[in-house]
Amino acid sequence: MDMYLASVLTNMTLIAFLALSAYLVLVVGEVSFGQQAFFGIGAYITASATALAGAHVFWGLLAGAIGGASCALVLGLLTIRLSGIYFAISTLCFAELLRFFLLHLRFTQSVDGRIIGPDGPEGFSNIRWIFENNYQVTDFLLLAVTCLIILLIVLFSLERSPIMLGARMVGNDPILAQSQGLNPTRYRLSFITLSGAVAGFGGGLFALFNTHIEPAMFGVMLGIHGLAYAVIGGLGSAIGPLLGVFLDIGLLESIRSLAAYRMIIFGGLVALLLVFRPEGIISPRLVSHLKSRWRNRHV
Amino acid sequence: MKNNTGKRLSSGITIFTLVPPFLLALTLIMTANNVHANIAKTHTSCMPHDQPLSYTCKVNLSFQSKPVSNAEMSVSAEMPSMPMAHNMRQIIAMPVADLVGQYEFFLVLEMVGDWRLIYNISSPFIDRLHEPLIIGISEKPKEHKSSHGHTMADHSSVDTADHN
Repeated sequence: MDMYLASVLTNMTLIAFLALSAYLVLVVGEVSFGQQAFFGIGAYITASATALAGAHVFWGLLAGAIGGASCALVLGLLTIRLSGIYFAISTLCFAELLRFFLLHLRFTQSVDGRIIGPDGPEGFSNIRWIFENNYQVTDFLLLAVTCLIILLIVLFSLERSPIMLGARMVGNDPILAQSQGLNPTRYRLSFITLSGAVAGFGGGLFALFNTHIEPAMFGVMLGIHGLAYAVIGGLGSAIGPLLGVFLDIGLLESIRSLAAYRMIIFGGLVALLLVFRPEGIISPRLVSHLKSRWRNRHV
Repeated sequence: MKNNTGKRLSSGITIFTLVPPFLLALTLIMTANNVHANIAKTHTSCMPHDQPLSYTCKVNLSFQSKPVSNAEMSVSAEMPSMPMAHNMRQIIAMPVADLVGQYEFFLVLEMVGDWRLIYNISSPFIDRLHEPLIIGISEKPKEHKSSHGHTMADHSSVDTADHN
């Protein structure tokens, strides 16, 4: 496979984790502008575990996911009484707080003459896992896609369970959900935590692939992109955010000749979709309609 | 702290979730140390081309302070503020004749801003080096005055105006 294509596909797969994490928060009716924080936490923890502590990549990624989930739980608890725009602003503040913290985080070690560890604004370099394990771009793509497929299987299983039904009910109308015996707070906290885990895991993979991470990478732009992919794709299914990623990055790459204007097209695409399909391409209504047609055909 | 249903959440849980990250953060900050040593380093200087946002760049590659000749090296660039959004094709850095350890490549960027050059070295050793490159509105990149290894740790000794 062409290196460029493999690199683009790997980036698409990695950002899909962020889009899916934003999707999980949207399902419970909240908008998060701070998913990049959990992505960054996962990246730094995985990088520290593998490059500094010499842990196996599995434990590194698991630590990244747990780190992301823990911080998301903390944020969820702190913002338990907030919703709507107030919750969105608080997530953005949290993400910026974390970014500023990373700008001041210095913990470097010299290993075989190489500087390893977070070094403030210079970031965390020498995450050499892919070199040490002789991973080519295509090998890493395979690893990332496998992880994404496993995550999708988990999410599809969740979609078929009463948990997701309850979460969607909470997302649509928390008071109605509460009157049906559901605990909106518990659903909200669970999904925010899960979204942190997904973002943290994706961040870990990103750190391993990129070999260098720095606080500037986890700025608001990344969070906006992740959220936009989930909104473009739609909240009807976990496939929605993936569609958003593949449509947007695929489209952007196909119009590479337009250089910087590509970002204007990206903004225009989001605006148009919000006008004509406010619930995204794969909206809950579309999924419900397709499901009923499927049932009618097979009954 | 109260939740939506008016039930009181255990303050113990809140403390349990809040304290460990802060303790970890404090430990990391207090035990911070800066070590300045690198194995492979790059030192890049770029000159603007006639076309907008196009640059002819020269890079000096060294390994343990000795210039590296006949290296196989490709270059790409990304914007740290927009990771994964810019997917550049790899550019081959060609060795400059008669100058040991110096390589040349032609770079076309998409927009002004803070970029990061990524050098993928496949021979004589395998490594990936990162170096910041700031493209201003004047389209004249600021030339770096010191070497950069992949850790960028030695950046702290460079005029920060170059990098921020």
